[in-house]
Amino acid sequence: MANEPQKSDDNGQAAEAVVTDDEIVLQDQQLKTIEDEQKSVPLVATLAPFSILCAEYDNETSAAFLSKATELSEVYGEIRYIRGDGNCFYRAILVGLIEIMLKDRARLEKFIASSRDWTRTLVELGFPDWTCTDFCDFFIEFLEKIHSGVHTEEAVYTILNDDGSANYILMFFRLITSAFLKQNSEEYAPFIDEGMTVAQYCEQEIEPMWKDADHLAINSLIKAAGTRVRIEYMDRTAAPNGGWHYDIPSDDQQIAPEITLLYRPGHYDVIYKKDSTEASEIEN
Amino acid sequence: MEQSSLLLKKQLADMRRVPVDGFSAGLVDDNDIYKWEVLVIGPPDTLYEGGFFKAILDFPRDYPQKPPKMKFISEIWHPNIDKEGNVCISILHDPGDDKWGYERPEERWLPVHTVETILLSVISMLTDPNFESPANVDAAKMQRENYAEFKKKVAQCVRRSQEE
Repeated sequence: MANEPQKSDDNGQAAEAVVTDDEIVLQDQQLKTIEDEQKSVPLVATLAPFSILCAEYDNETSAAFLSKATELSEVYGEIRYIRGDGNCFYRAILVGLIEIMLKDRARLEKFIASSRDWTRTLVELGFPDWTCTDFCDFFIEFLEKIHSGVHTEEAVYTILNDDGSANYILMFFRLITSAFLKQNSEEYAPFIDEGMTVAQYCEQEIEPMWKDADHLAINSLIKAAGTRVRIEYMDRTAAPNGGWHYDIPSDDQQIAPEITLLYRPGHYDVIYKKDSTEASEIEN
Repeated sequence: MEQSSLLLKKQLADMRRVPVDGFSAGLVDDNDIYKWEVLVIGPPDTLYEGGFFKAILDFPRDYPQKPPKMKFISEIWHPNIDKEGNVCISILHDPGDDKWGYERPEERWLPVHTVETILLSVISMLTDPNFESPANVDAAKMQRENYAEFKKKVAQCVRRSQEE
């Protein structure tokens, strides 16, 4: 024991670098542990009954969440969990759109056409031509294979759960989010911290993988993808009857949202209304 | 086949078709698209001018979501290359990686970056070392405190690289 302080003094002098090798090794291990934890959940889970969400909470330790989950369970019948890896918002929208397109051929054709338009727009906006078009081409090919029937519904979910392909597709969504912000930079610049341009913001917050989506990203992606989304908020704040939700875009409240997400602090999952699932059961 | 391997094949073919000034690239083993050998030519008007430095680019399976690692196998004395040859520049760090907190985040790896972007950053590193975050503390110190000695040491590496 008596020798220890002296020993650590020596180490302190020898280590000139701010971060020591041991610290780097430790941090690497911690990052690995976090990554492993994330990967224990599938990227896109199978549909589960909404009651599974209520079962995550109990009256003693999480009463506020339990009561909200119970309220929501009156309206929503199913939930699809999305992996919490920083991409969850983008992935939830991706999954929501693909589900719509699996049922709606006209919508699929429209989305293929708009994805081609985005490819040109990205290049025009100065994104590096052939890396960014590679993400676009991959996504368009994926959609075309759904259209031609090469990808069955089962194959689609397999692909959405394959890290390599799924994250490749996800990059398309990050790119169009960034492009939309850049196209509308005058409108969005006031919401970005001072001293940062829209382009810098996009490089820092939108284009890197595993970066959470903030409000700007959420708005931009929903508008860029031409969809309508409801987000049900589930947090500890007291909410008036039935909880909080926001519809984006908010300018046209008359049209029903086509994708609904459940937000819990730091995370998004996809949820489904009861009547729509009953309807699809009748169809089957 | 994994998407990353298709992308790397395309990228390699592209680099062979339109070579980037100051570099050549190939595979270490024709059966492994994830391991490239690159030859970095020391940029003109720098201490590294005239050198032919061999390096290995090691791509992860989840490239381009994550960056490759770059390691010089030729001996090279530089503040931002550690003594094992590992290149420590911000563009090769994942954005999620916060342990290198000193860098401006916009310099981090982005999936839209290419091998060309990396190699251009390496050229810029050879031209303009970053003293604030040395990977080779001795080299950084020597460059600051004993420039003549530093020059000599780099010249030795350049000479050796020509003989390899």
